[in-house]
Amino acid sequence: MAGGELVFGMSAAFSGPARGLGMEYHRGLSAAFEHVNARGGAGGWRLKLALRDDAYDPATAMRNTIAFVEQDRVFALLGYVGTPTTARVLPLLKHYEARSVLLLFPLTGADMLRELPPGHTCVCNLRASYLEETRNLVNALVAGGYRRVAVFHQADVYGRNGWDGVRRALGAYRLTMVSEATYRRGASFEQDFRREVALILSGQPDAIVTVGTAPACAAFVRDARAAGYTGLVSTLSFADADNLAKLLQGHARKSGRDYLSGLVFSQVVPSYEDESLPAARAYRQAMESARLSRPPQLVPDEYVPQRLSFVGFEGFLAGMALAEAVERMGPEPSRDRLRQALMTMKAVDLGLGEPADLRPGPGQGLRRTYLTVFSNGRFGGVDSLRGVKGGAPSFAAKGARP
Amino acid sequence: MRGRLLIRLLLFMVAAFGLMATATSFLSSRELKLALESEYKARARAIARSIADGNTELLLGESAGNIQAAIDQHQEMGELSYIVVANARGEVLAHTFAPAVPEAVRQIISAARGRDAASLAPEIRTLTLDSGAEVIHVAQPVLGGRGGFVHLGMDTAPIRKATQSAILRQHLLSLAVFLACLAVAYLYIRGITGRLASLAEYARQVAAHDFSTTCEVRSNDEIGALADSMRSMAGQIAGHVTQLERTVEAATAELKDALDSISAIVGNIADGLLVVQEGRILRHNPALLRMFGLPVQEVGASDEDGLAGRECAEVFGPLVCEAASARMVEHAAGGRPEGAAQLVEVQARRADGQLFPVEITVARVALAGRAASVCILRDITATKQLEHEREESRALLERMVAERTRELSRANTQLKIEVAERKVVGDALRRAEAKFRGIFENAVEGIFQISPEGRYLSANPAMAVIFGHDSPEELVAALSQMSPYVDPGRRQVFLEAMEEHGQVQGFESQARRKSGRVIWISENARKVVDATGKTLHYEGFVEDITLRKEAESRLVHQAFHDPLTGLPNRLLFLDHLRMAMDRARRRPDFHFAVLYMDLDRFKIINDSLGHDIGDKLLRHVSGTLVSCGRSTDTVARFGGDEFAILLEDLTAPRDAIRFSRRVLDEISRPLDLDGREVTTSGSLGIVLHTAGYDRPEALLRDADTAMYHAKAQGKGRFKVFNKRMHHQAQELMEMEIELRRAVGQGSLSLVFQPIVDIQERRLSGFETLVRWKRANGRAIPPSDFIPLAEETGIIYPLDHWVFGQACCAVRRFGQALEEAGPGTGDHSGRPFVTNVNISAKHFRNPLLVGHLEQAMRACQVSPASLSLEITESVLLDNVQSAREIAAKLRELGLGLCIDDFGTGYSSLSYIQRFSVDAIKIDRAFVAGLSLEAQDPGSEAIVRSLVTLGAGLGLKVVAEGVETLEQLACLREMGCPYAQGYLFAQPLPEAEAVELIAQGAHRAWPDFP
Repeated sequence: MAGGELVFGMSAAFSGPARGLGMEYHRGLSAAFEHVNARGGAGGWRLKLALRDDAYDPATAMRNTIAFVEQDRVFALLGYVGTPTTARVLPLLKHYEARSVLLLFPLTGADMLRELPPGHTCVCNLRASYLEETRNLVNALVAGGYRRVAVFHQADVYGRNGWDGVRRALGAYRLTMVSEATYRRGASFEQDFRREVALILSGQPDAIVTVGTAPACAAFVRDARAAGYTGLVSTLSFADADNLAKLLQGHARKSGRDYLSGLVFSQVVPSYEDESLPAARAYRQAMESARLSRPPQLVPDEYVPQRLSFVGFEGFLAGMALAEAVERMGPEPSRDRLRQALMTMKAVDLGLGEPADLRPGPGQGLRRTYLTVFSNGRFGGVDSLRGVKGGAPSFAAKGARP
Repeated sequence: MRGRLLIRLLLFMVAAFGLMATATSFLSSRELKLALESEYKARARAIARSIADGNTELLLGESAGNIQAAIDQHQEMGELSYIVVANARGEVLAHTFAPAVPEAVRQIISAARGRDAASLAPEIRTLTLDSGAEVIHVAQPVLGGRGGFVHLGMDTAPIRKATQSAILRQHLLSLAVFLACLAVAYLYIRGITGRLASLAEYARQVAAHDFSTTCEVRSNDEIGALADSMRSMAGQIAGHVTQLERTVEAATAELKDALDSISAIVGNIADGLLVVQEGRILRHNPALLRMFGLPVQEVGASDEDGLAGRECAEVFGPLVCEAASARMVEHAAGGRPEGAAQLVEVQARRADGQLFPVEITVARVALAGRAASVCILRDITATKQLEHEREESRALLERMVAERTRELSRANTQLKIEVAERKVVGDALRRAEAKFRGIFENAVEGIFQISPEGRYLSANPAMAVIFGHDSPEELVAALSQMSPYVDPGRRQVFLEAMEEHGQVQGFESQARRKSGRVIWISENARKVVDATGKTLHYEGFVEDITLRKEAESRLVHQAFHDPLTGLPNRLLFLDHLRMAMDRARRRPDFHFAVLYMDLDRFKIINDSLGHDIGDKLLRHVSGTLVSCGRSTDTVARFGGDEFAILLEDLTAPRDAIRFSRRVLDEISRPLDLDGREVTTSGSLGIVLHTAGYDRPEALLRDADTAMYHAKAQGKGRFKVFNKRMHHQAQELMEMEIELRRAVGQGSLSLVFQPIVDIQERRLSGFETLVRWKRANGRAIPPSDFIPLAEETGIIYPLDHWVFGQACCAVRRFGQALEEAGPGTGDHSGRPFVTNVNISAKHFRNPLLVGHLEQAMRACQVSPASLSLEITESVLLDNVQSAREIAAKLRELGLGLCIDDFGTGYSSLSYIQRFSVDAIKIDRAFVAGLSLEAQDPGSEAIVRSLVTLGAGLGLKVVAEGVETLEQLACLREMGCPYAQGYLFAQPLPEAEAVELIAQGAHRAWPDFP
């Protein structure tokens, strides 16, 4: 049996405004698989991805999952992207419990995947939750002197998770958010957010936490800056910092403004630029040597991939973690054995300088979050937000607001 | 008035309906809205409750993300416009608004917090959002508000939409019903008001005494009853009025009539009227005035203006007046009854003073209570005068009557004489008429009279019979409707001829009998004119010449057709061919072909199976040919088994070829004739290039030639005539002409081939051979020209000539023999014999024997010194006659030798049957005897023939002996005679005589 192929089903947004996440996560996973396969596979098993596009739509994600399990008969589900999509799939996993279908390392920090009832061992999380991300972020904001926090979030589970995280974190400081606004899922960069910006700015925030996708957050930043907001804007890891930066850079070239200063990106993985980390080195190396091609059947929309990205790095880590699990599974792969193998992965070294607990069920592999800013054309980690300045001074002088 | 009523009613209806429709739509929309609202509210409540109850634990957990996931799913169902979840403190935990919770909702949420905590019932209200949308808002407490609230909003737009569309539908329906009712009401009301209006109109007319029309309104309702009573009332009134008017009118008219008549009588009586009262004129009339010469008053003027009131005596003279009055008195005294008239006659005086007698009738009457006398005066001057004149004229009349009576009696006598004469003449005419009538009636020819316009005036019974009618009347009636001629223009031709020549003779036409059968008639007619030369009519005879015409056409057909097959004969074919050639000359694109066919072996079939079968075969073949050809083609039989076909209007030569193939195929099929299977075939000659010919005969000849070529190549073939054949034919023809000439002119010559008795080694005779040297100097071998001569019939004069010449030669040979002394032949009893070739053809000619006899007699030669050489084929053809002729020849003493024996089909029995006395062994067998070509077969044949000859006592001659070996062989076999180049070539007569003179008949010089 050794030397066979294990296929993992990945349903993600490969089209629509959120496609950047899917693309990058897929690239990271593929790079890891290639890296592993090039070295004879994981325990002799070649790893392979089966892809389906859900365009960040929960119903499609559910259909894809059913297809993966019942038609494609994939070994496990891997690398789903998005909270609402994964949230919808969750009951289905319960349904497939008898078949021991596992959902591995979804790209979401939703609570519900981490607050599963006892015995529910269908999901394996790698990344930190949104609650942790927002808590760390709010802590940093408060520590940096920002006490008027507003939340701009997606009007769905993801957005609500982020909003809830911020609310709870602020609650610890007996603070409440000064204003909030929502937007509908699926917004593109072209969408007009001036109404939302006005709502947010009505609370006179000095820091805004955005819980959204890259195009929506980028568009919000664009309109907020246009409305004269000079405060801090922060995003969560799901906002795909690399693509967001790319969108804003593109717009900055057109309008001649700097949109990236004053932006803080919360990340669940350290910066891939950090050469001290073996994982970052491995990722960069893998991306160098990988011959990644875009999944042709899944790219109706044009997309220029990032060479390296946080999401990609996360994907790479997920792929490597999976390889480790497969290797531990032994020569006779089965879903149950994979679960058992994962159960043994209490403290796995993924090359991040700390062990990860990858056991299925409640909890997650990584708990640390990282704050990064974009400066000099690259992302760099920051410890404190005190020095982060937002907006262009000239723009602040203009002051659209009275 | 009628319109106003109608419009008023309709307007009322419109108003009522509009009111009703508005009311009902308002009511129903309200009901619908209420019903829908309550339904929506119930549904909203149910959803709110299901969210609240279904997610109680989630809500208590206050995990906003999980709550959001739950409400997202509910909202995706699509019925709710929003869901908000708030905790017990009124803080919003999750909502589905973007970008923010509207103020109105926020207020409700904060209001819900303050509500009575024990309230478990959901609160439902309707509120309007910032966007203007109206929603049903349900605030559903969770765990009586301890677990917070679920708020949800349901858009009422669907309710509004449903209500509006329901109202619209209802309005449309109402409108439709209303329009329908309106139409019905219009019709109904119009029915009532219309009838009322017509009743009113009717009443107006009755009031105006117009009874001409009646009211047409009739129905069972009140209006109908009203109309009925109006009608009867009007009828009664009309009756009364008209009766009254009529009575008055009648009375008036009566009075007026009486007055008018009295006036007229008074005014117009011829006698004068005078009414006198107490001496004064009371009344008079114009006649009275005229009588007395007084001026007549204008008509119509009243009496008072005239003489009325004047003294009577003053006007009319005292005499008259007295007569009137006096008598009155007298009468009055006499007490005579009043009114009784009295007549007096007095002399009256006119105004001009002239006296005239007048008769007065006086009557007394009471007028207006006073006595008056009414006098009628009559001028009797004329009466007196007339009396006088009558006396005179009566005397005159009596004289005249006497004279007249005398004259009349004279005339009467004269007339009686004339009547007697006329009776005599009339009898004579009647007799003549009866005579001619009899001729007319009983004539065999039809006799008729027609008007110059062509209308039949009369016809006799014979004519009726000709036209198949029962009586002449019927015929004339029929002919007046339809011309008897088949050709409608024929009558016109007849009439024109008639007008031009005054008669027609033998005017033949096709006419139609009553039965429709077409007959031929011949008409002779002449014009009948009156004394002034005006045409009265035409009369003439009709003869039914149908039988004659049919006979004629039959004759014509027979003249141009073959009686056996009914096909055209040569004459007709040539005619058609000539026409085709003419057409081809006129039209370059017109192509035709001529085919000539004869049947192979027809003669054998005819001879062996009988003429009956032969005829049937010919009919079959002709049928085949006709069926293969098209209707435009001409298939002719030229007699015997020869047919000619003219294919006209060909598109390509291959049409003719295809036709030929088909014909030959069809003919060669085995045929069952009277139970015998007969197989035949035909040979066809075709001329395709018909352009260069002038004469049809030449064309036919070339077709024939091509046919012969076909036949020569075998049976059942066809051959297209070509140039080469043409040349050959020409050559043959030239040869034929030359040969025919040669027979008379002497370019033919005889040579003699010696026949040698090889046992005795001496000359035993000659075979006479004919040589022909043509004008071009070429010598033609007999094998070339003899068949030609046979074919063309030249063989008869040729053979006669040859035989005559041979006889003369034999005579000279005889003289030479005598001079040379007797040969050994005399001892052996074998005479010196000269053979002459005779064509087989002669053996069909019974005159042959006489002819030969005559020739021999002419040269005074003995038949015994001559022998006729014939070929075997003679014996085969026409066995019976050949045998008879052969017998006669033998009786005559002529020898009979079969030439080329063994090559034909003759059986030995023929030799006996034809009493042949010699046979000649064919040179082919003899040639087989030579050493080089030692042929055991030939040798055996020759030997057996020699033995046969010896056995039957025949002379056996070997022909074509050319070598010593052959001679030796023959001698060894015992063959008695031989001829050939070994001995001598054919010799001219002089050399032959010389040979005899040398004594060759005793011993052949230099016998090899």
